[in-house]
Amino acid sequence: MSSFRRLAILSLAVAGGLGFLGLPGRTAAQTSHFAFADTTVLRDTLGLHFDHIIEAADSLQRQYGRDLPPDSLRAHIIRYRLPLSRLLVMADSMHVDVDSVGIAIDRERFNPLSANYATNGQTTFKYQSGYTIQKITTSWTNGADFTLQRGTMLLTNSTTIGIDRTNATNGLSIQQNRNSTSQATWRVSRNVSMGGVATLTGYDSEDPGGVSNQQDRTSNFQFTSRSKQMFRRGITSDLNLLAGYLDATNVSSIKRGFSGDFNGHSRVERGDWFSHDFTAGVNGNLSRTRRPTSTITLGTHDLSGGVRGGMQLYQTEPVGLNVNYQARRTTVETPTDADTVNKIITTTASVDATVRIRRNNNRYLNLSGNTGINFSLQGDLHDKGWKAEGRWVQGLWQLDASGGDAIRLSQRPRQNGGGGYDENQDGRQAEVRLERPLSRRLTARITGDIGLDQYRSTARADSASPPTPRDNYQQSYRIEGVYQPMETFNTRVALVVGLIRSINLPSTSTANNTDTRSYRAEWTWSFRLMRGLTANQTNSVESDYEFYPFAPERNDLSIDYNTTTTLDAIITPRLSINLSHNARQQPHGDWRVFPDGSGALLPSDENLNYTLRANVVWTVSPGVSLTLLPEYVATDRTGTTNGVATPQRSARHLALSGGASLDLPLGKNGHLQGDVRRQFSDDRNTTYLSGLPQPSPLAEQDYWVGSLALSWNL
Amino acid sequence: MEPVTLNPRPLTRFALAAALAPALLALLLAGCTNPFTPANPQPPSGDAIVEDFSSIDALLNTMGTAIQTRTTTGADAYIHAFAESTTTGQRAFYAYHDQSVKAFWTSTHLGQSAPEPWPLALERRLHSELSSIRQNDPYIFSWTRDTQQSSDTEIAPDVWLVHIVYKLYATPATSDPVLIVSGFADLLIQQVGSKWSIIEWHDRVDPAYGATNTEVTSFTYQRLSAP
Repeated sequence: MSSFRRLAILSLAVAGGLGFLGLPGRTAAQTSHFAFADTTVLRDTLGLHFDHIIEAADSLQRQYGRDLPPDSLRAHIIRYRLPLSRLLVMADSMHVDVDSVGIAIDRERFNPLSANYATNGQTTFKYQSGYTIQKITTSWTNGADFTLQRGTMLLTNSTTIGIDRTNATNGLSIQQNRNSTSQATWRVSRNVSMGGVATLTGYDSEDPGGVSNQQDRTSNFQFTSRSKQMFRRGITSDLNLLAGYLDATNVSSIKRGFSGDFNGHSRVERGDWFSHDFTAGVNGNLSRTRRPTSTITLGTHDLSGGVRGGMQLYQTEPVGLNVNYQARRTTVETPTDADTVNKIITTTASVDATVRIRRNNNRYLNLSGNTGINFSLQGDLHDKGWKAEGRWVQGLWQLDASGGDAIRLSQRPRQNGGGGYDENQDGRQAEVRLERPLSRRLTARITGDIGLDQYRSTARADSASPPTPRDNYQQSYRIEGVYQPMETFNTRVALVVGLIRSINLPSTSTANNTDTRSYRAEWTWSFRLMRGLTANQTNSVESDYEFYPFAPERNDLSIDYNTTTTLDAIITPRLSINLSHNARQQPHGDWRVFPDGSGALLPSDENLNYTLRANVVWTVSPGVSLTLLPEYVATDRTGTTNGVATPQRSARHLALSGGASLDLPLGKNGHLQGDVRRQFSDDRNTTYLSGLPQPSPLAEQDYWVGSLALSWNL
Repeated sequence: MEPVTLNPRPLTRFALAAALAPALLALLLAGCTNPFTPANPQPPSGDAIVEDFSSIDALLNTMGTAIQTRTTTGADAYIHAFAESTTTGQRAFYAYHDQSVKAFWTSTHLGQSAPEPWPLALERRLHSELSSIRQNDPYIFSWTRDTQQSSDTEIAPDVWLVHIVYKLYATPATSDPVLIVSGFADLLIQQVGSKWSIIEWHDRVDPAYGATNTEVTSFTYQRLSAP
């Protein structure tokens, strides 16, 4: 009986058995422009709604000029329990990116100069302890957070201690990590606070296989002073000073001396048309340093100074400008084996500017340019580039296009047997996407992209071996359609055709040039068979033809047939079952092209893989759940010699994992979380020698894993 | 949610602009050099190394040819024989030293570090280090299966344990070949798609020469000596 037939029968059995159940389900509505977006994020519920999250993520990505996927945005909404609209308002008022709102909230809680700083007294103490046991490793963590606030005085301490024990074949290794940060702050006036901070860290490692055990200690005691200023409406600043004593000991150096950090931030706003953020700071230490094995003490100075800023002009107007800049210079001095001081200097600077021409979210054009330098011990980098991206929606049509060019000059000095050359890189990219709903139920999209990366190098030293001059070219197009005849069913078909060319230029390397032509067809569907039961299937066929333009006898072909079927069932509000089956067949061999242009696959090997997994979760009570995870994997490989297929290897894997999870409140102040599981697996591999099976002994594993964590608030 | 409609709309100036844009773009492109045209490669020469990684033997032969070819092409081909981790889940190459050779080397190179495991980034230095031992003499690299160990064993799906003996000879024009490198290696070799690559190299000293011999050395010694 084929695996597909077995799956069909299994699916029908599950569907029939669940036919009497009726449970609530939900699907996400979406605009046609986001018909291709991953809508599974909208199906999650924690009392929070995610309407328009995909559109918001799309808009924020354009504004920030970086990747911000919808699921990342959803994670912030869930973590901080803030609805999307509230999150956006807070990001705007706090002048931070949406994904930094939570960090800013946490930081402001303990900022005495914050406008929201509560002056009524509070005392909190939180203790956490956790123990985790794995097959050969155990971890024990302990931590405490303490906060004492009386009027304008604030005292905080955060301490964590972690111990990892690993039982390996060469003995027991132990790692200990200890961190403690204590801070005392007094708000002297409305805009000034003073205090002190003590940061203590320790790391110990004992490894029987290691050359020597490792012990790191760092102690940093600093006086702190923070102030904020508002010169007039729209102009604010804050200044921070930390200065004190540093004592750091590790395997390579012992360092003691004076440490300091002075930094500030200012913001200037003028109505809606202008804003400028500027941050500058300098930190470092003046120390006496020596190697642990040396008696000679050296004077070392570490210094790091930098500025960064961002200016926005006419953000709400049809034409706006964004400029960001940064510069930093770092000097680090370390003792050498010859008891001299080695100075390492790193310098970076960059600026980028973006002109935004925007009619609305459906019609805009962004033009960006950037330039930057990076000077370090490894060499110098000079970057420059430009990028353009735009969207035009006309009626039912949506056109997205982007393109750019990134140019880098790398100057590598001759050192350690490498370097001694300059390399120029030039990477050009362009992408166009056209989308249109063809009817109320059918949407089509065409995507095309093209790119060329060129690498050219010039030797600057006699013995240098610069990288091979080469070009990497790629082009592809994708045609896909989504059909959703009803709310409970949708299907998608896609065809992807691609070409990747790896082109070495000199004659000594061109024999290995390749042109890889890929053809991929996909068909996926999702069907909510009934409330609480959804079936999904993905089928794909991919052929990769690898051509060697100068060595056609090495041409080969890889084919990949893949199908994955999943059933997600919520049988009762407390019992859910997820069933997944995957079948994959991958023939491979030489590809011969005949004089008439036709070709044939000369098979050399073929892999067959079948996987069946299930995940059964029974929530016994709101704080206790039981889980069962069975898995079966069958793998077979055959090789073909002189047209005769013979088995080479087969493997069978059966695994079963079952256990319980706890999430229990202990009174008003305590919380207990834990997980304990028994893991069992059986593996047997069979190799074939001259066609005769050589089975390996049955490999069995059976062990417990678990974790328990207790937290207590006083 | 606003329903999608297919009602025809009058042609606006924006629609006109959108319709003319492709024609304008085509005219602009026609007058320019295609920025996505790759360069034309030179035809292959006799110095080329055919990088064949289609089997374990082909992989080791390619590695040997690369060591014999003391040029950038040889260095590139050599490093291509080892696994590189470019995405999550891919295994990267690491070499593990012979401990007796490592102890000897550290005792004679006081204060210098002996990185272990030895990553791919450092392995690049080995090719130029080997090339510099006898700069004026051609090389011959040979490898054979270590018959004192078990035959090739598949220890995990698509991962094989292979034991080899390796030797590198310098062949001066006026004298007999001189053995300059000799050792044993327990290799873990993986197959990803159609390409085989080395993911672990556990080096073992050749007892015929010992750990303290500096005339006939092992890969461990050469790796640690690579600047």
